Amino acid sequence: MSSNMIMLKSSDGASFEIEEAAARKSKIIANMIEVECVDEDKAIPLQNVTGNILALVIEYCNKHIVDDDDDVATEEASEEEEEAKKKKVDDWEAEFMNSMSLETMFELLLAANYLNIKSLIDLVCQTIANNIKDKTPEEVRKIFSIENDFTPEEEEEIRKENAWAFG
Amino acid sequence: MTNRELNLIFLPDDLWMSILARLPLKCITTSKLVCKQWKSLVESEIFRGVFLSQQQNTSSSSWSLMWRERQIEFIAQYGCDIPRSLGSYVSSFLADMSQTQKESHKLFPPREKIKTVEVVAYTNVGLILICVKSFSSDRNYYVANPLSQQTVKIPPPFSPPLAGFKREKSFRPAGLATRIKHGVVVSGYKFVCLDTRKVNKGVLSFMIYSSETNSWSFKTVLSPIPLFGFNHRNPVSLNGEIYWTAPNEGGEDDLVGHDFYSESDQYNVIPFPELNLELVERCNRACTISQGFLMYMNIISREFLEELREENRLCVWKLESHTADSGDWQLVARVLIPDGFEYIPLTIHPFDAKIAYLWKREHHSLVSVDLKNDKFVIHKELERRSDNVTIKSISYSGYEFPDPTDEIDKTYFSTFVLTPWLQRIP
Repeated sequence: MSSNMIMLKSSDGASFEIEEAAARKSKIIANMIEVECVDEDKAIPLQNVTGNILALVIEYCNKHIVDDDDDVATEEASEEEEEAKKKKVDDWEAEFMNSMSLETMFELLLAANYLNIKSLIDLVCQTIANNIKDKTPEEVRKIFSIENDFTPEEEEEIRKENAWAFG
Repeated sequence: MTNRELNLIFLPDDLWMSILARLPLKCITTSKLVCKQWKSLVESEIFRGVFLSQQQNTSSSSWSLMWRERQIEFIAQYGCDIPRSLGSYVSSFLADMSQTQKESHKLFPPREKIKTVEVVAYTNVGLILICVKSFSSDRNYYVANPLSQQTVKIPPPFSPPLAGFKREKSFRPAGLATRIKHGVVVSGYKFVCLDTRKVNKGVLSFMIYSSETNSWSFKTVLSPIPLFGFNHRNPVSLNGEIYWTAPNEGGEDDLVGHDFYSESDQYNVIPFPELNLELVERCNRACTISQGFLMYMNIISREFLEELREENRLCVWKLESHTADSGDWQLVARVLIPDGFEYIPLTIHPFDAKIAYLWKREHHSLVSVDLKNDKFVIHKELERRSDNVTIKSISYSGYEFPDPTDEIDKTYFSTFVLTPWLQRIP
């Protein structure tokens, strides 16, 4: 396993050291490494990510290097072992997201999107979706501080349109 | 949450879409009420694409296998969006329809009163074709979505009278053709009726109602290969084309198809895959649609005379492509059937071509076969699997439930599948 370390620098000037394998979770950074524009002693500047968010991204990436590397090694692993491992990751992810405010989730989503980390985008989107799954439109507006820009007539029209679906 | 004062960070549309596309369809419908931006997002074609790629997993899709003649639901799978099986939607819808029809006909003379309301075709695009028959044998046809309860009456073909109207009585409903693009029905639907008296002359005469033009027309298609009968009662519809079976000169069934959205004036006659002489097909030919392909399965047996035993295998083929007179059949599975039991092939999972369903005669029960690892599983009456998906199967509980093998020659199973995206009947 390569244990090359890479330096990342947040928009507010904080520096983070991360294993190359973990950093490669980000397609953008992986590409930079491929085309060798990463200078060993120079930090990669990430202008769109603040230090506290980058710390979360790095925490996530560190937790997820293992599964990629293990793919080959655990080919023989039994179904139960696989399941147990998956459950452990799921639990960790649930805990990880649980401690976050909605604002942080949004920032994390933007960072994951900028760094192109697909599995993290999926995780955050799913968590936000779960948050609004069984909510009424009013509750959803409240959660996201969205203003209702429909007139009562327009709203009635949409309700009527929706009525045919699911009876 | 304490974000009353919070001015939430701006999220670009594509990220909002990735979030909303993870919601169940019902919540997506409600989310249109949040604000104008959300409404236009979820109504966009891009969003539909994102949603469909999210829903690729088979578990969230709903489908049922219906025993047509008896209107019995044989297998049902329903996901998070739908609290009941599709068959129960169909039966309550038919009951409602029958009630309304009867009430509206109360004052009619006895002959014109409603006798039966029944499904004549199921589709894999969430629509069913219903026939309402009066005591005088007048038939009216409806296209319906039993979930949304939307019903569209198909205008009778003789107002205004069509040339050739006199022959109308010999036309029989033979299917509903639709085309699917990005998960929704495009170009409306076509209700196809076949003149059953004329099939053996190398001519198929259709009377077709197109929802796009809201009109009826005649279409005659030919082939140098004559047919010696025609089974119009069990159509399989796949992307504009409808397939039936028809016996050929040798008395063997061929697959017969025509694309009703094409300009072609030919019908296609596709022989089933050829077997070598030692092998015998045991069952009626079961054709079904899975993952966008026509699949054919049968139980093939081979006798070992010296050892006084026979070996049965479930064989599944996929129709990769076809021409006007031949098909490219790929054998996708050949599974050894445990000795001594009699099975009938029912269908293949519409979203997972690696799962086949059989009826096990001895135990009057449904069996699913995992074609990847040859695993046979008998299904109990009701099973609940993880992630909110229910698989229901009907199994014999000692009374009243008929055994399909007793009526196998006149039994048709049809799969009814919902499109993952909700749509009004065009």
